[in-house]
Amino acid sequence: MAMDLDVEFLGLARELVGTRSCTIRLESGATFRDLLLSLASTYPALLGKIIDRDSGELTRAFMLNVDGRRAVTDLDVPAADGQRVLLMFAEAGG
Amino acid sequence: MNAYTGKILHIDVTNRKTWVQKVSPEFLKRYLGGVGLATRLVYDNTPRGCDPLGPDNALCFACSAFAGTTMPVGTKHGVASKSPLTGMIGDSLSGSHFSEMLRRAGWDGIVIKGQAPSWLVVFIDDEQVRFLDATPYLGKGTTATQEAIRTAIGDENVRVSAIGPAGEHIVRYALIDNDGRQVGRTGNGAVMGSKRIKAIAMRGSHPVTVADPDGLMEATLKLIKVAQGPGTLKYRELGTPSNVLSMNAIGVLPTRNFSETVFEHAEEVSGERLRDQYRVKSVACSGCPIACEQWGAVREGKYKGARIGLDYEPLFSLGPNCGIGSMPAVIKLTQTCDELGIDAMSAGVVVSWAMECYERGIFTQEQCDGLDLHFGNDEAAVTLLEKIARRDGIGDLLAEGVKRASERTGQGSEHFAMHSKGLEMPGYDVRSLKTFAMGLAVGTRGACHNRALSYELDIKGKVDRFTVGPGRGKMAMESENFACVLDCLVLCKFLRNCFDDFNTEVAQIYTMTTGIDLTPEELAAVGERVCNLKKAFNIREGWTRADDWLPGRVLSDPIPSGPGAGVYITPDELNYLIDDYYQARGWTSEGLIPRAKLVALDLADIAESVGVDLSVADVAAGEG
Amino acid sequence: MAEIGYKHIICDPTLCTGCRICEYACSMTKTRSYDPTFSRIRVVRIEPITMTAISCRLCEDAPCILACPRDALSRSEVNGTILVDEDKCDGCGWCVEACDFGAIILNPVSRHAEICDLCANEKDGPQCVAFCPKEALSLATPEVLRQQARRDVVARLMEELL
Repeated sequence: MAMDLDVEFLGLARELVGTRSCTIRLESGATFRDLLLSLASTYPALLGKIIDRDSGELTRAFMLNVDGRRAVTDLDVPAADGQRVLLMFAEAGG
Repeated sequence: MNAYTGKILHIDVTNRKTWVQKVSPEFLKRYLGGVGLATRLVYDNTPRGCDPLGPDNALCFACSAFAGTTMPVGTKHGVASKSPLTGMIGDSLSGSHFSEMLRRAGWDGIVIKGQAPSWLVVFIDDEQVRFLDATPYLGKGTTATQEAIRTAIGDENVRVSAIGPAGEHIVRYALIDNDGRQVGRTGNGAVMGSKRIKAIAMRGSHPVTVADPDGLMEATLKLIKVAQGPGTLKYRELGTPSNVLSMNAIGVLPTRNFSETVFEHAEEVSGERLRDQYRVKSVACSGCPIACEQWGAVREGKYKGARIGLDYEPLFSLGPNCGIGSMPAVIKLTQTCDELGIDAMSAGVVVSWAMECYERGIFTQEQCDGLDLHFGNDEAAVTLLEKIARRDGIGDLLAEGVKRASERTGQGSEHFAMHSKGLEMPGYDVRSLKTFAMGLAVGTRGACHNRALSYELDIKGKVDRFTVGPGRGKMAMESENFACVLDCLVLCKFLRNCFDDFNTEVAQIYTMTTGIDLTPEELAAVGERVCNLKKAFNIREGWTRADDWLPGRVLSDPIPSGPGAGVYITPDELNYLIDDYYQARGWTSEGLIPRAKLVALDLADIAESVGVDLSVADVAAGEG
Repeated sequence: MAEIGYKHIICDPTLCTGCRICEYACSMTKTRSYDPTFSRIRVVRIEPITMTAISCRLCEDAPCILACPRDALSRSEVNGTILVDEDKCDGCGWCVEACDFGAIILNPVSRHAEICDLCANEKDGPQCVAFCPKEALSLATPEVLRQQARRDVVARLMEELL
C-alpha cells in the first residue's frame, strides 16, 4: 500500500530544487523522516543547506508543516496519504 | 572605562543648555545600553503624566555596549520616550553608522528635553554641542536631509538622525531615520518634531577601546564565520520577505485589513519574486556580517526608479494587508514611507483601516478627498501616505493612528481598528496564533512581534497554536525576557540562532569588551529587569489591565478561509492566557507589580511609588 | 614590476555589503583600538547600494613615491608595499593628495603617513581579508582577477549550452 504526499517548496528550497511542488510516494506507515530521505534522493540539491548530509534531518533553518496547520516537531511520526507538506524557513521574524 | 564612556549628555533645546551626567559601571551593568538604558533615562527624566508632545517628554538615545567594535550586529542604538501614539513607553531600535558615532563622540546616552523656539539641527561634535538653523532642511525627506547636512558641514564622517515631513507635522507614528535604518515604531519621530528638532548630527573622533582586544578579536572572528551559516540562512538568502509565502501557506498572512489570512496574489509580492525579478543588492548595517537588507529596484512601469531595502513587516502592511499584489507598488509604498518618515507598519494598517471604512461606506469618496480608496488601489495609497505626512485633508485624521482615528469615526470602525494600546498590529493574524495573541496583548509598547518573539512558539509548533493551555505564560515571558536582553546589549535579533549557550558566550564577550564582570545569570536578569521597568513606567502613566487587549475582529470574527478557517480567539481564552502570563511574571491578577518583586529585580528606587504592597493585593500565584 | 607577483587587497563590489568590518579589524590591528579613522582600508558607500573597499593598490609608478619632497616613501622589495621612513616623513600630506585612490592616511597622532602594509606583522596576513564576512576582499594581483573573470565568462557560456 502506498501513500502520496504533496510537497510544496518555499524559499531557498524552491530555488535549489527548481520547482514549486512535487508528489512523493511513500510506503504506508512511512514517517516524515522517510519523506526527507525520499526528498534528498529525488532532489540532491537539498543536501547540505536544507537536509543535513549526516543525520538526514532538516538543518536548523528549515521546518516541515502539514496541511498548513501543524509544524512537524517529531520526524518519526507517520505521515498520511493526501497530506500537504510545506518545506519552509523556520524563522518568522521580520 | 572600556567601550562605555560613563557619560550621558543632557540637552535642553528650549534654552540651548547642556550638561553631563556621569554614570557608574554598576549602573551601566544593570541596563547594559540600548533599550534598557534608554528606558531608564525616560523613567528618570520624563515626569509622570506629561504630554508626550510637550517639552517635558525626554527623548533618549542610548548606545550599544558593542558599538564600533567587531562584535557582529552590535553597532546599534536604542531610542525611547513616552509615546505619543500609545501614551506608554515608546522604545525603538536602529543601527549602523550613527550608532558608532554616538559612542565615538564620547556618549553612552543622550537625553533631550524642551522645545526649541525655532527649528534646529543639533550637532554633537565630540563633547561640543552646536545648534544649527534647520530652515534649509524643512520639508526634505529623511535621506535628503542627512545628505544635505553632511554637505553643509563638509564631512562625510558626520552621521545624522533625521525626521521627514511626517515628523515635522507631528504624525503620531513618525519615525527617525539614520543611514537608511529607522527608529521606526511608536512615534519617536513625532516627539523629535514636537521639540522642533529636524535632525541630530553626530561626529565622533574618539577610538573605541576594549578591555581584551586579542580575546575580542578572536571571539568575534569566530562569530562572523558562524554568522554565514544556518543560523542566519533565511536573512542572507531571501531576507525577511520569505515570510510572505510561509505565512500565506499556514493561513496567517494578514489580508485586506486582517479580515482574511490567505492572499491570492501572495506569489507576486513574495520574497521569491523579489529575489528573482527585483533584487539588486544585499546591504549591511555598519558592523554586521549578515547583510539582511535585500534591496529591490523597479526598472519599468509607473513606479520606475523606486527602490528600497524591503523587509517583511512593511511588505505585509502595505501589500496583502491593503489588498495590493504588485511588488513595484509595495517597493514604492515602502520607500515613500521611509522618505516621508512614517512607520511603514503603522501606516499600512492605518491605510487598510481607511480602505475598509471606504468599502463599507463609512467614508465617502468625498471624505477621502476624492480618492477611490478601495482595497488594492496602490496609487490612492501612495497619495494617501503623502497626505498623512502633511496632515492634509483626511490625512489629518489618519495621522492620529488607527486607535484615535477609529474612536473619532465610530460607526463600528473600532471593531476592525487593528491595534493594541494604539500600536498597529504586525504581520501575523493571531486568531490562529493564540499564544502570540497573548504576547501582543500584554506587550509594553503595544502590539509588537519584535518585543514578544512568541510567534515562534506558535509557528514552530512548540505549542498548539489553535488552542490555549497551561504554561504558555511562562513561555511568553521567557521569549520577552530574551528579546529584551538582545535589545539592551544591543545585539540585532537576527544573530540569536548563532549561539550554543547565548548567556555564557555573550556575557564573556561583554566582559572582554567593557572590562565589567558579568555572569550569564546577571545577563539574563537584565531582560526581566527591563521588562518590569517598562511595565512599571506604563503603570505609572495610567496603564490598567483593560489595556492588555486585542481588537474585536480578533475576538469574534472567524477566519473565513484557508488553513485556519473558522478559528478565532475568544475573550475567555485571551483572559486565561493573560492570567497565566501575569502569574508567570509574579504580578497580581490585575497585572500590577509587587514591591518585593521590584526590589528583587534591583529596582528598589521605584518600588515605593509604583509597586503594590503584597499584603493588600492578591498575588496571582497565591490566589489564582 | 608590480603587475607580476605583487599582490594587493582587492574588493569585489558585488560581494561587498558595506559593513565596514574591514575598517574595524584594520584599525584594531594597527592601533589596538577600534577607530576607522586609522584604518588603512576604507569602505566607500554611495547610498543606497553602491559600495566597495579601497586600499593601496601598489601602483607600479607610484605617484606617492614621486610626490614626496623628502623621499620618505619607497617600495618594499619583498612584497611591493609602500614603506614610510618615519624619520624622514614630516606629515606634509603631498602623498595623500597624489594618491588617486585616497589610500594614504595621515595619522594625526604620529604625524606620519600610513599606508596598507598587508599586515606585515601579522602571522596570518591581512586582517581585513580574514574578517571580511562575505569574502569580498582578497589578496590578489590584477592578472589573477583577469584570469578569473575570463574563466567565469566562459563557464557561464557553457552553462547556457548545457
